[in-house]
Amino acid sequence: MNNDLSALEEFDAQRKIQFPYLLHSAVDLLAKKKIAYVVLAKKENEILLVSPSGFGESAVIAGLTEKNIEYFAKFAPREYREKLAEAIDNDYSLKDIWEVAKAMDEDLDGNATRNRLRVKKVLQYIYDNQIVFHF
Amino acid sequence: MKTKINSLISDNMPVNFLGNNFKNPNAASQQSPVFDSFEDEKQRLAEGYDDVVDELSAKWKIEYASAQIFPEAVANIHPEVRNFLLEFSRVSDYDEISKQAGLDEKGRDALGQIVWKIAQTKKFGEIANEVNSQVALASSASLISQLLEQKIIGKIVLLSAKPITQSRQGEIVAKKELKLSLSQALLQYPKLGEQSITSNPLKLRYFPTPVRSSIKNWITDYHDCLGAGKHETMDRGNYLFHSENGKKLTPVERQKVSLMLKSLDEETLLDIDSDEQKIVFTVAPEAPVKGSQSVAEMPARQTNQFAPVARREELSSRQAISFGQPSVQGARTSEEISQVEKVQTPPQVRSDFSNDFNNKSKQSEDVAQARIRQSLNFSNLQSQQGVKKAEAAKVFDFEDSDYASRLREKISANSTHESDFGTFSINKSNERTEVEPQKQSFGSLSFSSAQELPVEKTATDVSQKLEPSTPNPTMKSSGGAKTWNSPDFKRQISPAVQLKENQTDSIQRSVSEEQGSMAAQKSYSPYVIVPSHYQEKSSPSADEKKDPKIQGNMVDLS
Repeated sequence: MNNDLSALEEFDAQRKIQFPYLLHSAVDLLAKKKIAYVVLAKKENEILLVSPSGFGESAVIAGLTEKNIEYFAKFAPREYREKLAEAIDNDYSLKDIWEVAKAMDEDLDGNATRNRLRVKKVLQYIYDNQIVFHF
Repeated sequence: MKTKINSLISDNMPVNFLGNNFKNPNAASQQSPVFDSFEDEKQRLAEGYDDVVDELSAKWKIEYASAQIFPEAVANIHPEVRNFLLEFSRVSDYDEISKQAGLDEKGRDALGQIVWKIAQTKKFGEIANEVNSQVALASSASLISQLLEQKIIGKIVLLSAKPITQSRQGEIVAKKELKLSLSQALLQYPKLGEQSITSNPLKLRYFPTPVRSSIKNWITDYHDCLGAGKHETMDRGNYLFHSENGKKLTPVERQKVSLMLKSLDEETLLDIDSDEQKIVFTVAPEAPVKGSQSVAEMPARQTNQFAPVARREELSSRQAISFGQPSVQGARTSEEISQVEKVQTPPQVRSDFSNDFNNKSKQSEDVAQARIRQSLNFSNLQSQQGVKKAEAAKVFDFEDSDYASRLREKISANSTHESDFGTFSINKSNERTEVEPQKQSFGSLSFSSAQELPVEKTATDVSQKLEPSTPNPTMKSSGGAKTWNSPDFKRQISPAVQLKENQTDSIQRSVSEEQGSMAAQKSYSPYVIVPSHYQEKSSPSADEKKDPKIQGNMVDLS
């Protein structure tokens, strides 16, 4: 490894990159919101470094940005797409995603809808291009 | 109250434990050492995080290099069309169309499916039919199809006409490699300066801690060492080989840094990957490190070390053959090549190009044996430096049928012989010495152990077959003590021993007859087991004279 990080720091970085959905036990809304914020901060080139099973988590989907989902649709391998499609097809999961987005908006302001709009667009994008997500 | 506290602080608390100066009320605006170190720490973590991302990306690319990206239906679509349809801005386009056409949510959702279907089938003229079949509002079908054609389908038609430049499924070759000098590249692509080009961190002259080996830091170090401005090739060479950071570089890394600095000084052009904002270094691969050489390289290297010049030429030509290059033997005959081949390479190495050289029987030889043989060869080489080169080439060939006789001649000429196992002397008068020429001709070695190597066994068998009248070679010899490998030696050195056994048996039989049925219970082994260093004092004196002296597995037949 060519960086100046200690082994522990490096391990933390790897966990944050590959398994953000395991950083906090995603049992309550607060933990899910934290995970969504971690995913929201990711750049395009980092999004596919999240392990495929992460895209079955509602908190991760709630953190996807427009750019990230576009990158995902263009370059994600089959197992990533299948996990995402599985989550989107599940009503409970959809409801959960919406709840996380709503909680994120509440952090900003009572009336803010930025995150909900973002999530709505992301879900619409997935629906429009569902042909590339279903195998 | 407030002024009182302020005066107290200014008088009695000059510096707190974190190093912040409370005396000066403006101190907060100045950057304190604490904040400096905090910023450094943040930067270090950020840089480390980026490095981890790079490394994981590289691993990810390898892992998913051949992964399926798209379903088959989508994979067949022109890549540029596919990318166009996958742009996020299509969502807004569909939204706009549905607004203009007054579509409900269901109608809106159908737009994407229609477009994908058209892109798949390439039936661009049938868009109206598709819209009619999928959108409930038939009245607005013409408007929808018109809007779709205008905003999306028209573009798809244009993109479909383009030639496909696809590297692998789903990924278009869109890497734009530019040729720019380093200074131009850094101006255009600032991120390029962060590219790490060497493995070890750098020690900058005016910075206390090691820093990343990025292009920027290398330039900083270069200017710190040699001063700003342009430098000559010699200066660069000195810097690359003698500077504190340059000394630690591997050859490949040095080549990279050299290219970079040359571009910095002489404005030479570098290959820049504009997408990734990186310099594309095309340097020769690093030569194998000493000590990590492959088995295949070992014999050639060793031989090169010891062999005279003429033989080095032979070896280099052999290496050329082994790597599939055209032969440059010149006048050398195939016999000579095969001789060199036989000697210089262990069987495993030879097996690589055994099709070229017809010596398949040697492939199964033991590696250890081959190595020992080689070491003997090299010692021969060293001891026979005075011998002519052509002669020397023949001497090393253990496979040569005349080798044994030649070796004997040489031995008689030089009574002492050096080998890797130490110096040993050879008794001229006695042919059967520790170095047995016949055995050596089979490429084997004698060991003091009772075990026989398979090749030695074969040699013994052959010699026995050649001399049927003398089944036991040791009985024939008239030297000193000989070694015998078989554990049941008494049975094999028959005449004297069998005679003794028969006599013993007859005596025993007569005694047992005398003793009657009581003595009949006693059983006798056909073998007499004699422990080492043990002499039976009670044995008859007549037999004692005939009995060979036995010590362990040594039998003295004198």
